[in-house]
Amino acid sequence: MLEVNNLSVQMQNQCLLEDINFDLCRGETLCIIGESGSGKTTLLRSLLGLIPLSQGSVSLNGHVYQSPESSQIGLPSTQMVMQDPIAALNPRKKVKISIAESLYRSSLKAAEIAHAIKQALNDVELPDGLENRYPSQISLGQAQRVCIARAIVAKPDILFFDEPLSALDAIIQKQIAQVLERIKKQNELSYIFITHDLGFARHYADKILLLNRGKVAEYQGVGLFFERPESAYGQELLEAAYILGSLPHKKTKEIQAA
Amino acid sequence: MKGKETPPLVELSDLTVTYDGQVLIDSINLDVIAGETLAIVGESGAGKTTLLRSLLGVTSHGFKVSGSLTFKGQQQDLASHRSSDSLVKGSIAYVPQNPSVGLDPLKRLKWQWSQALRGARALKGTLLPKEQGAEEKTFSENILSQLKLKAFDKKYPHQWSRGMQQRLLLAFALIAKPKIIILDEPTSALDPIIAAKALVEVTKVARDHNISVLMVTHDLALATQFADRVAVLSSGKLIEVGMTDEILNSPSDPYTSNLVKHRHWGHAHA
Repeated sequence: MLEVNNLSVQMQNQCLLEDINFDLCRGETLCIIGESGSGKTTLLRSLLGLIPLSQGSVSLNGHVYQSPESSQIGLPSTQMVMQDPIAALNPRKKVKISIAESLYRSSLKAAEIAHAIKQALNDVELPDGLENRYPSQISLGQAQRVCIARAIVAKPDILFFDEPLSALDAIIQKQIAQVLERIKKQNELSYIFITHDLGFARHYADKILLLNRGKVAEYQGVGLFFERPESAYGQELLEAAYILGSLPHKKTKEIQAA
Repeated sequence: MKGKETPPLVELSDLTVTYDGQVLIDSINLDVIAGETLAIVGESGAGKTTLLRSLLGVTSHGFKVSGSLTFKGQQQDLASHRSSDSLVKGSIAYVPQNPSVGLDPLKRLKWQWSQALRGARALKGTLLPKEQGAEEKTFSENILSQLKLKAFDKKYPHQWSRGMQQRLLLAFALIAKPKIIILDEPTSALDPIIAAKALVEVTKVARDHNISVLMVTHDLALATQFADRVAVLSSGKLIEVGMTDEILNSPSDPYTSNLVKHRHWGHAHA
Protein backbone atom coordinates (compact mmCIF):
# COMPACT_ATOMS: atom_id res chain seq x y z
CA MET A 1 0.00 0.00 0.00
CA LEU A 2 2.74 2.46 1.02
CA GLU A 3 6.09 2.28 -0.70
CA VAL A 4 9.11 4.40 0.07
CA ASN A 5 11.97 4.20 -2.41
CA ASN A 6 15.47 5.66 -2.05
CA LEU A 7 14.17 8.53 0.00
CA SER A 8 16.79 11.15 0.85
CA VAL A 9 16.42 14.52 2.49
CA GLN A 10 19.07 17.19 2.40
CA MET A 11 18.94 20.55 4.04
CA GLN A 12 21.61 23.22 3.90
CA ASN A 13 24.07 20.75 2.42
CA GLN A 14 23.51 18.40 5.32
CA CYS A 15 22.21 14.97 4.58
CA LEU A 16 19.47 14.29 7.11
CA LEU A 17 18.15 11.10 5.59
CA GLU A 18 19.92 8.86 3.13
CA ASP A 19 18.49 6.15 0.94
CA ILE A 20 15.52 5.04 3.01
CA ASN A 21 13.50 2.12 1.65
CA PHE A 22 10.52 0.41 3.21
CA ASP A 23 6.96 -0.60 2.49
CA LEU A 24 3.82 -1.04 4.49
CA CYS A 25 0.81 -3.25 3.76
CA ARG A 26 -2.76 -2.68 4.86
CA GLY A 27 -3.25 -3.56 8.52
CA GLU A 28 0.47 -3.51 9.33
CA THR A 29 2.23 -1.55 12.06
CA LEU A 30 5.71 -0.19 11.51
CA CYS A 31 7.74 1.18 14.40
CA ILE A 32 10.51 3.62 13.58
CA ILE A 33 13.09 3.61 16.36
CA GLY A 34 16.38 5.38 16.84
CA GLU A 35 18.11 7.87 19.08
CA SER A 36 17.34 11.55 19.15
CA GLY A 37 18.80 13.15 16.05
CA SER A 38 18.68 9.94 14.06
CA GLY A 39 16.09 11.36 11.67
CA LYS A 40 12.86 9.77 12.88
CA THR A 41 10.84 12.95 12.90
CA THR A 42 12.41 14.16 9.66
CA LEU A 43 11.32 10.93 8.01
CA LEU A 44 7.78 11.36 9.25
CA ARG A 45 7.68 14.97 8.12
CA SER A 46 8.99 14.08 4.69
CA LEU A 47 6.36 11.35 4.32
CA LEU A 48 3.68 13.86 5.23
CA GLY A 49 5.04 16.31 2.67
CA LEU A 50 6.11 18.90 5.22
CA ILE A 51 9.72 18.67 4.05
CA PRO A 52 10.58 18.35 0.35
CA LEU A 53 12.39 15.17 -0.67
CA SER A 54 15.75 15.62 -2.34
CA GLN A 55 15.65 12.19 -3.87
CA GLY A 56 13.41 9.19 -4.11
CA SER A 57 9.69 8.73 -4.07
CA VAL A 58 6.80 7.86 -1.81
CA SER A 59 3.74 6.15 -3.20
CA LEU A 60 0.48 5.42 -1.46
CA ASN A 61 -2.30 3.55 -3.25
CA GLY A 62 -0.94 4.68 -6.61
CA HIS A 63 -0.53 8.33 -5.64
CA VAL A 64 3.13 9.10 -6.11
CA TYR A 65 4.90 11.86 -4.28
CA GLN A 66 8.26 12.43 -5.83
CA SER A 67 11.29 14.61 -5.71
CA PRO A 68 11.98 17.37 -6.37
CA GLU A 69 8.42 18.16 -7.32
CA SER A 70 6.94 19.38 -4.06
CA SER A 71 3.76 20.91 -5.41
CA GLN A 72 1.71 18.15 -3.92
CA ILE A 73 1.20 18.70 -0.23
CA GLY A 74 1.73 15.38 1.45
CA LEU A 75 0.01 12.12 0.93
CA PRO A 76 -3.73 11.71 0.71
CA SER A 77 -5.57 9.67 3.32
CA THR A 78 -3.00 10.02 6.06
CA GLN A 79 -3.44 11.53 9.51
CA MET A 80 -1.06 12.28 12.30
CA VAL A 81 -1.12 12.17 16.11
CA MET A 82 1.54 14.14 17.96
CA GLN A 83 3.40 13.67 21.21
CA ASP A 84 1.89 16.47 23.28
CA PRO A 85 -1.90 16.34 22.99
CA ILE A 86 -2.51 19.63 24.79
CA ALA A 87 -0.24 21.49 22.39
CA ALA A 88 -1.98 19.81 19.48
CA LEU A 89 -5.45 21.04 20.42
CA ASN A 90 -6.60 24.62 20.08
CA PRO A 91 -7.18 25.78 23.68
CA ARG A 92 -9.89 28.22 22.62
CA LYS A 93 -12.02 25.71 20.79
CA LYS A 94 -14.29 23.04 22.13
CA VAL A 95 -13.16 19.51 21.53
CA LYS A 96 -15.89 18.88 18.98
CA ILE A 97 -14.77 21.86 16.87
CA SER A 98 -11.22 20.52 16.83
CA ILE A 99 -12.45 17.13 15.69
CA ALA A 100 -14.76 18.66 13.08
CA GLU A 101 -11.78 20.44 11.52
CA SER A 102 -10.64 17.10 10.14
CA LEU A 103 -13.85 16.97 8.14
CA TYR A 104 -13.84 20.44 6.65
CA ARG A 105 -13.13 19.17 3.17
CA SER A 106 -15.84 16.53 3.27
CA SER A 107 -19.31 17.16 1.94
CA LEU A 108 -21.01 15.94 5.11
CA LYS A 109 -24.00 17.81 6.49
CA ALA A 110 -23.93 19.21 10.04
CA ALA A 111 -25.96 16.35 11.47
CA GLU A 112 -23.69 13.81 9.81
CA ILE A 113 -20.62 15.56 11.19
CA ALA A 114 -22.12 15.55 14.68
CA HIS A 115 -22.82 11.86 14.28
CA ALA A 116 -19.29 11.14 13.04
CA ILE A 117 -17.84 13.00 16.03
CA LYS A 118 -20.00 11.01 18.45
CA GLN A 119 -18.94 7.81 16.73
CA ALA A 120 -15.25 8.70 16.88
CA LEU A 121 -15.42 9.66 20.57
CA ASN A 122 -17.17 6.39 21.19
CA ASP A 123 -14.42 4.53 19.34
CA VAL A 124 -11.74 6.01 21.59
CA GLU A 125 -13.87 5.22 24.66
CA LEU A 126 -14.52 8.78 25.77
CA PRO A 127 -17.78 9.54 27.60
CA ASP A 128 -20.66 11.40 25.95
CA GLY A 129 -20.68 15.11 26.63
CA LEU A 130 -16.89 15.44 26.54
CA GLU A 131 -17.13 16.99 23.07
CA ASN A 132 -18.49 20.17 24.64
CA ARG A 133 -15.47 20.71 26.88
CA TYR A 134 -12.34 22.71 26.26
CA PRO A 135 -8.86 21.10 26.23
CA SER A 136 -8.07 22.65 29.63
CA GLN A 137 -11.02 20.79 31.12
CA ILE A 138 -9.87 17.31 30.17
CA SER A 139 -6.95 15.18 31.30
CA LEU A 140 -3.83 14.51 29.28
CA GLY A 141 -4.93 10.96 28.48
CA GLN A 142 -8.36 12.18 27.39
CA ALA A 143 -6.75 14.86 25.23
CA GLN A 144 -4.64 12.23 23.48
CA ARG A 145 -7.80 10.19 22.87
CA VAL A 146 -9.39 13.32 21.36
CA CYS A 147 -6.40 13.66 19.02
CA ILE A 148 -6.82 10.05 17.97
CA ALA A 149 -10.56 10.63 17.42
CA ARG A 150 -9.72 13.66 15.30
CA ALA A 151 -7.39 11.54 13.20
CA ILE A 152 -9.74 8.58 12.67
CA VAL A 153 -12.82 10.66 11.92
CA ALA A 154 -11.27 11.57 8.55
CA LYS A 155 -11.12 7.86 7.67
CA PRO A 156 -7.46 7.67 6.71
CA ASP A 157 -5.60 4.61 5.45
CA ILE A 158 -2.48 5.30 7.45
CA LEU A 159 -2.07 6.92 10.82
CA PHE A 160 1.27 8.45 11.79
CA PHE A 161 2.17 8.72 15.47
CA ASP A 162 5.10 10.72 16.82
CA GLU A 163 5.75 9.38 20.35
CA PRO A 164 2.02 9.30 21.08
CA LEU A 165 2.27 7.75 24.55
CA SER A 166 5.49 9.09 26.03
CA ALA A 167 3.81 12.00 27.80
CA LEU A 168 1.35 9.71 29.58
CA ASP A 169 1.45 7.58 32.73
CA ALA A 170 2.21 3.88 32.34
CA ILE A 171 -1.29 2.56 32.96
CA ILE A 172 -2.93 5.15 30.69
CA GLN A 173 -0.38 4.25 27.98
CA LYS A 174 -1.48 0.66 28.03
CA GLN A 175 -5.18 1.54 27.92
CA ILE A 176 -4.73 3.82 24.92
CA ALA A 177 -2.55 1.27 23.13
CA GLN A 178 -5.37 -1.24 23.46
CA VAL A 179 -7.86 1.26 22.06
CA LEU A 180 -5.53 1.87 19.11
CA GLU A 181 -5.19 -1.83 18.46
CA ARG A 182 -8.97 -2.32 18.39
CA ILE A 183 -9.50 0.70 16.09
CA LYS A 184 -6.83 -0.66 13.76
CA LYS A 185 -8.56 -4.02 13.46
CA GLN A 186 -12.04 -2.48 13.05
CA ASN A 187 -10.99 -0.13 10.27
CA GLU A 188 -8.13 -2.09 8.68
CA LEU A 189 -5.77 0.78 9.29
CA SER A 190 -2.00 0.83 9.02
CA TYR A 191 0.07 2.51 11.70
CA ILE A 192 3.50 4.08 11.61
CA PHE A 193 4.85 4.84 15.08
CA ILE A 194 7.89 6.81 16.07
CA THR A 195 8.84 5.51 19.46
CA HIS A 196 11.80 4.87 21.67
CA ASP A 197 9.91 2.47 23.84
CA LEU A 198 11.24 -0.88 22.68
CA GLY A 199 8.79 -2.75 24.88
CA PHE A 200 5.92 -1.12 23.02
CA ALA A 201 7.55 -1.83 19.66
CA ARG A 202 8.04 -5.48 20.49
CA HIS A 203 4.43 -5.86 21.47
CA TYR A 204 2.62 -3.87 18.80
CA ALA A 205 4.87 -3.66 15.73
CA ASP A 206 4.92 -6.00 12.76
CA LYS A 207 8.09 -4.44 11.39
CA ILE A 208 10.91 -2.40 12.84
CA LEU A 209 12.83 0.32 11.04
CA LEU A 210 15.90 1.25 13.05
CA LEU A 211 17.50 4.55 12.08
CA ASN A 212 20.99 5.67 12.98
CA ARG A 213 22.37 8.99 11.81
CA GLY A 214 19.90 9.30 8.99
CA LYS A 215 20.48 5.82 7.60
CA VAL A 216 18.57 2.59 7.99
CA ALA A 217 20.56 0.51 10.46
CA GLU A 218 18.08 -2.30 10.33
CA TYR A 219 14.74 -3.08 8.67
CA GLN A 220 13.26 -6.32 9.94
CA GLY A 221 10.26 -8.22 11.10
CA VAL A 222 9.65 -7.66 14.77
CA GLY A 223 10.39 -11.24 15.82
CA LEU A 224 13.74 -11.38 14.09
CA PHE A 225 14.79 -7.95 15.31
CA PHE A 226 14.23 -8.80 18.95
CA GLU A 227 15.63 -12.33 18.66
CA ARG A 228 18.66 -11.72 16.49
CA PRO A 229 19.38 -8.12 15.59
CA GLU A 230 21.70 -8.00 12.60
CA SER A 231 23.45 -4.72 13.24
CA ALA A 232 25.87 -4.04 16.07
CA TYR A 233 23.89 -0.90 16.78
CA GLY A 234 20.67 -2.88 17.13
CA GLN A 235 22.35 -5.25 19.57
CA GLU A 236 23.66 -2.38 21.64
CA LEU A 237 20.23 -0.80 21.77
CA LEU A 238 18.57 -4.03 22.89
CA GLU A 239 21.20 -4.54 25.57
CA ALA A 240 20.54 -1.03 26.90
CA ALA A 241 16.80 -1.70 26.93
CA TYR A 242 17.33 -4.81 29.04
CA ILE A 243 19.51 -2.88 31.48
CA LEU A 244 16.94 -0.10 31.80
CA GLY A 245 14.12 -2.56 32.22
CA SER A 246 12.19 -1.42 29.12
CA LEU A 247 12.38 -5.04 28.02
CA PRO A 248 11.73 -7.65 30.70
CA HIS A 249 13.63 -10.77 31.75
CA LYS A 250 17.18 -9.70 32.47
CA LYS A 251 18.39 -8.27 35.76
CA THR A 252 20.98 -5.51 35.76
CA LYS A 253 23.05 -7.27 38.38
CA GLU A 254 23.43 -10.27 36.08
CA ILE A 255 24.44 -7.98 33.25
CA GLN A 256 26.99 -6.23 35.45
CA ALA A 257 28.38 -9.58 36.56
CA ALA A 258 28.66 -10.87 32.99
CA MET B 1 22.97 -2.32 53.51
CA LYS B 2 20.02 -4.59 53.14
CA GLY B 3 19.47 -5.47 56.78
CA LYS B 4 16.66 -3.59 58.39
CA GLU B 5 18.67 -3.28 61.64
CA THR B 6 20.99 -0.66 60.10
CA PRO B 7 20.02 2.74 61.48
CA PRO B 8 18.77 5.05 58.74
CA LEU B 9 21.03 7.78 57.45
CA VAL B 10 18.27 10.28 56.85
CA GLU B 11 14.79 10.07 58.22
CA LEU B 12 11.79 12.13 57.19
CA SER B 13 9.01 11.97 59.77
CA ASP B 14 5.44 13.04 59.24
CA LEU B 15 6.32 15.22 56.25
CA THR B 16 3.27 17.15 55.09
CA VAL B 17 3.27 19.80 52.41
CA THR B 18 0.31 22.00 51.58
CA TYR B 19 -0.11 24.71 49.01
CA ASP B 20 -3.07 27.03 49.09
CA GLY B 21 -4.99 24.63 51.33
CA GLN B 22 -4.32 21.70 49.02
CA VAL B 23 -2.44 18.77 50.52
CA LEU B 24 0.42 17.84 48.18
CA ILE B 25 2.27 15.49 50.52
CA ASP B 26 0.30 13.72 53.20
CA SER B 27 2.28 12.79 56.35
CA ILE B 28 5.04 10.73 54.80
CA ASN B 29 7.60 8.78 56.82
CA LEU B 30 10.60 7.73 54.80
CA ASP B 31 14.17 6.82 55.59
CA VAL B 32 17.27 6.33 53.51
CA ILE B 33 19.79 3.72 54.65
CA ALA B 34 23.52 4.29 54.10
CA GLY B 35 24.79 2.80 50.88
CA GLU B 36 21.44 1.64 49.52
CA THR B 37 19.75 2.53 46.26
CA LEU B 38 16.23 3.68 47.01
CA ALA B 39 13.81 4.42 44.19
CA ILE B 40 10.84 6.71 44.65
CA VAL B 41 8.30 5.77 42.02
CA GLY B 42 5.22 7.76 41.20
CA GLU B 43 3.17 8.86 38.24
CA SER B 44 2.98 12.49 37.18
CA GLY B 45 1.47 14.61 39.94
CA ALA B 46 2.22 12.06 42.65
CA GLY B 47 4.40 14.52 44.56
CA LYS B 48 7.88 13.27 43.68
CA THR B 49 9.30 16.72 43.01
CA THR B 50 7.63 18.26 46.08
CA LEU B 51 9.08 15.49 48.25
CA LEU B 52 12.57 16.09 46.86
CA ARG B 53 12.30 19.82 47.26
CA SER B 54 11.22 19.51 50.88
CA LEU B 55 14.12 17.19 51.60
CA LEU B 56 16.55 19.65 50.05
CA GLY B 57 14.90 22.68 51.64
CA VAL B 58 14.20 24.42 48.37
CA THR B 59 10.40 24.56 48.31
CA SER B 60 8.98 27.56 46.49
CA HIS B 61 7.17 30.44 48.13
CA GLY B 62 3.70 29.53 49.33
CA PHE B 63 4.43 25.89 50.14
CA LYS B 64 3.75 25.08 53.79
CA VAL B 65 5.97 22.27 55.03
CA SER B 66 5.70 20.47 58.35
CA GLY B 67 7.35 17.44 59.87
CA SER B 68 10.91 16.76 60.86
CA LEU B 69 14.18 15.62 59.41
CA THR B 70 16.68 13.46 61.27
CA PHE B 71 20.27 13.23 60.08
CA LYS B 72 23.20 11.77 62.01
CA GLY B 73 21.15 11.71 65.19
CA GLN B 74 20.19 15.38 64.98
CA GLN B 75 16.69 16.55 64.33
CA GLN B 76 15.46 19.57 62.40
CA ASP B 77 11.98 21.01 62.07
CA LEU B 78 11.00 21.08 58.42
CA ALA B 79 8.72 24.11 58.78
CA SER B 80 11.71 26.46 58.79
CA HIS B 81 14.02 24.19 56.81
CA ARG B 82 16.05 25.99 54.15
CA SER B 83 18.92 24.55 52.15
CA SER B 84 21.40 27.12 53.54
CA ASP B 85 21.08 25.99 57.16
CA SER B 86 19.96 22.44 56.57
CA LEU B 87 21.42 19.51 58.46
CA VAL B 88 21.88 17.76 55.16
CA LYS B 89 23.73 20.68 53.58
CA GLY B 90 26.73 19.31 51.74
CA SER B 91 25.62 15.74 52.32
CA ILE B 92 23.09 15.44 49.52
CA ALA B 93 24.04 16.01 45.90
CA TYR B 94 21.35 16.55 43.31
CA VAL B 95 21.66 15.66 39.65
CA PRO B 96 18.95 17.37 37.62
CA GLN B 97 16.86 15.68 34.97
CA ASN B 98 18.14 17.87 32.18
CA PRO B 99 21.95 18.14 32.29
CA SER B 100 22.09 21.44 30.46
CA VAL B 101 20.38 23.29 33.34
CA GLY B 102 23.25 22.30 35.61
CA LEU B 103 25.98 23.80 33.46
CA ASP B 104 26.79 27.41 32.65
CA PRO B 105 26.65 27.68 28.85
CA LEU B 106 29.12 30.59 28.79
CA LYS B 107 31.91 29.01 30.82
CA ARG B 108 34.45 26.41 29.83
CA LEU B 109 33.94 22.99 31.36
CA LYS B 110 37.32 23.05 33.01
CA TRP B 111 36.38 26.21 34.87
CA GLN B 112 33.10 24.66 35.97
CA TRP B 113 34.93 21.60 37.23
CA SER B 114 37.32 23.80 39.24
CA GLN B 115 34.31 25.57 40.76
CA ALA B 116 32.84 22.24 41.73
CA LEU B 117 36.12 21.23 43.36
CA ARG B 118 36.26 24.52 45.16
CA GLY B 119 32.70 24.10 46.36
CA ALA B 120 33.50 20.64 47.59
CA ARG B 121 36.51 21.97 49.47
CA ALA B 122 34.49 24.80 51.00
CA LEU B 123 32.02 22.25 52.32
CA LYS B 124 34.82 20.37 54.01
CA GLY B 125 36.09 23.58 55.55
CA THR B 126 39.38 23.91 53.69
CA LEU B 127 38.71 27.06 51.76
CA LEU B 128 42.11 27.81 50.24
CA PRO B 129 41.83 26.75 46.62
CA LYS B 130 45.53 26.09 46.13
CA GLU B 131 45.84 23.72 49.05
CA GLN B 132 44.81 20.75 47.04
CA GLY B 133 46.08 17.76 48.91
CA ALA B 134 47.45 14.75 47.07
CA GLU B 135 44.67 12.57 48.42
CA GLU B 136 41.99 14.91 47.16
CA LYS B 137 43.65 15.07 43.78
CA THR B 138 43.69 11.32 43.35
CA PHE B 139 40.10 11.15 44.53
CA SER B 140 38.85 13.64 41.96
CA GLU B 141 40.94 12.09 39.21
CA ASN B 142 39.55 8.73 40.18
CA ILE B 143 36.00 9.97 39.84
CA LEU B 144 36.73 11.44 36.42
CA SER B 145 38.31 8.25 35.15
CA GLN B 146 35.59 6.06 36.64
CA LEU B 147 32.98 8.09 34.82
CA LYS B 148 35.13 7.91 31.70
CA LEU B 149 35.45 11.65 31.39
CA LYS B 150 38.44 12.53 29.30
CA ALA B 151 40.32 15.81 29.05
CA PHE B 152 38.17 18.92 29.17
CA ASP B 153 40.42 20.68 26.63
CA LYS B 154 38.93 24.09 26.13
CA LYS B 155 35.41 22.87 25.54
CA TYR B 156 32.14 24.59 26.33
CA PRO B 157 29.08 22.61 27.46
CA HIS B 158 27.39 22.68 24.06
CA GLN B 159 30.43 20.97 22.51
CA TRP B 160 29.80 17.91 24.62
CA SER B 161 26.98 15.44 24.09
CA ARG B 162 24.19 15.26 26.61
CA GLY B 163 25.49 11.93 27.83
CA MET B 164 28.87 13.49 28.61
CA GLN B 165 27.21 16.50 30.25
CA GLN B 166 25.17 14.19 32.45
CA ARG B 167 28.31 12.33 33.49
CA LEU B 168 30.07 15.57 34.31
CA LEU B 169 27.17 16.50 36.59
CA LEU B 170 27.46 13.11 38.23
CA ALA B 171 31.16 13.83 38.78
CA PHE B 172 30.26 17.25 40.26
CA ALA B 173 27.92 15.46 42.63
CA LEU B 174 30.42 12.77 43.61
CA ILE B 175 33.49 14.90 44.35
CA ALA B 176 31.70 16.62 47.22
CA LYS B 177 31.70 13.16 48.86
CA PRO B 178 28.00 13.30 49.60
CA LYS B 179 26.19 10.72 51.68
CA ILE B 180 23.28 10.69 49.26
CA ILE B 181 23.09 11.39 45.56
CA ILE B 182 19.70 12.20 44.07
CA LEU B 183 19.02 11.24 40.47
CA ASP B 184 15.92 13.01 39.22
CA GLU B 185 14.42 11.05 36.29
CA PRO B 186 17.91 9.95 35.24
CA THR B 187 16.97 8.46 31.89
CA SER B 188 14.46 10.87 30.46
CA ALA B 189 16.88 13.33 28.86
CA LEU B 190 19.21 10.67 27.50
CA ASP B 191 19.14 8.11 24.74
CA PRO B 192 18.87 4.56 26.07
CA ILE B 193 22.40 3.37 25.25
CA ILE B 194 23.97 6.34 27.03
CA ALA B 195 21.48 6.25 29.89
CA ALA B 196 22.15 2.58 30.55
CA LYS B 197 25.91 3.09 30.62
CA ALA B 198 25.71 6.19 32.84
CA LEU B 199 23.39 4.50 35.34
CA VAL B 200 25.46 1.33 35.58
CA GLU B 201 28.56 3.45 36.17
CA VAL B 202 27.08 5.80 38.73
CA THR B 203 25.52 3.03 40.79
CA LYS B 204 28.88 1.26 40.77
CA VAL B 205 30.80 4.37 41.88
CA ALA B 206 28.21 5.02 44.57
CA ARG B 207 28.52 1.45 45.85
CA ASP B 208 32.32 1.73 45.90
CA HIS B 209 32.12 4.86 48.05
CA ASN B 210 29.15 3.75 50.18
CA ILE B 211 26.97 6.58 48.88
CA SER B 212 23.19 6.12 48.93
CA VAL B 213 21.39 6.71 45.65
CA LEU B 214 17.91 8.17 45.72
CA MET B 215 16.43 7.62 42.30
CA VAL B 216 13.22 9.45 41.49
CA THR B 217 11.36 8.11 38.50
CA HIS B 218 7.96 7.40 36.98
CA ASP B 219 9.27 4.14 35.56
CA LEU B 220 8.79 1.18 37.88
CA ALA B 221 10.60 -1.19 35.52
CA LEU B 222 13.67 1.04 35.63
CA ALA B 223 13.43 1.40 39.41
CA THR B 224 13.30 -2.35 40.01
CA GLN B 225 16.36 -2.88 37.81
CA PHE B 226 18.58 -0.70 39.98
CA ALA B 227 17.04 -0.22 43.41
CA ASP B 228 17.47 -2.22 46.61
CA ARG B 229 14.24 -0.72 47.93
CA VAL B 230 11.28 0.86 46.20
CA ALA B 231 8.90 3.48 47.63
CA VAL B 232 5.63 3.96 45.78
CA LEU B 233 4.11 7.43 45.89
CA SER B 234 0.61 8.28 44.71
CA SER B 235 -1.42 11.49 45.17
CA GLY B 236 0.94 12.67 47.87
CA LYS B 237 0.71 9.50 49.93
CA LEU B 238 3.37 6.90 50.43
CA ILE B 239 1.52 3.79 49.32
CA GLU B 240 4.15 1.22 50.03
CA VAL B 241 7.86 0.84 50.80
CA GLY B 242 9.62 -2.46 50.46
CA MET B 243 12.55 -4.43 49.17
CA THR B 244 12.46 -4.56 45.38
CA ASP B 245 11.68 -8.28 45.28
CA GLU B 246 8.86 -7.87 47.79
CA ILE B 247 7.32 -5.08 45.75
CA LEU B 248 7.55 -7.14 42.57
CA ASN B 249 6.41 -10.46 43.97
CA SER B 250 4.00 -9.61 46.74
CA PRO B 251 2.85 -6.01 46.62
CA SER B 252 0.49 -5.35 49.50
CA ASP B 253 -1.43 -2.46 47.96
CA PRO B 254 -3.73 -2.75 44.93
CA TYR B 255 -2.27 0.43 43.44
CA THR B 256 1.22 -1.06 43.57
CA SER B 257 0.11 -4.37 42.13
CA ASN B 258 -1.54 -2.51 39.27
CA LEU B 259 1.71 -0.65 38.60
CA VAL B 260 3.68 -3.88 38.82
CA LYS B 261 1.27 -5.54 36.40
CA HIS B 262 1.59 -2.70 33.91
CA ARG B 263 5.31 -2.08 34.14
CA HIS B 264 5.99 -3.94 30.92
CA TRP B 265 4.10 -4.11 27.65
CA GLY B 266 2.12 -7.17 26.83
CA HIS B 267 -0.51 -9.34 28.40
CA ALA B 268 1.91 -12.13 29.23
CA HIS B 269 2.87 -10.17 32.32
CA ALA B 270 -0.65 -9.12 33.20
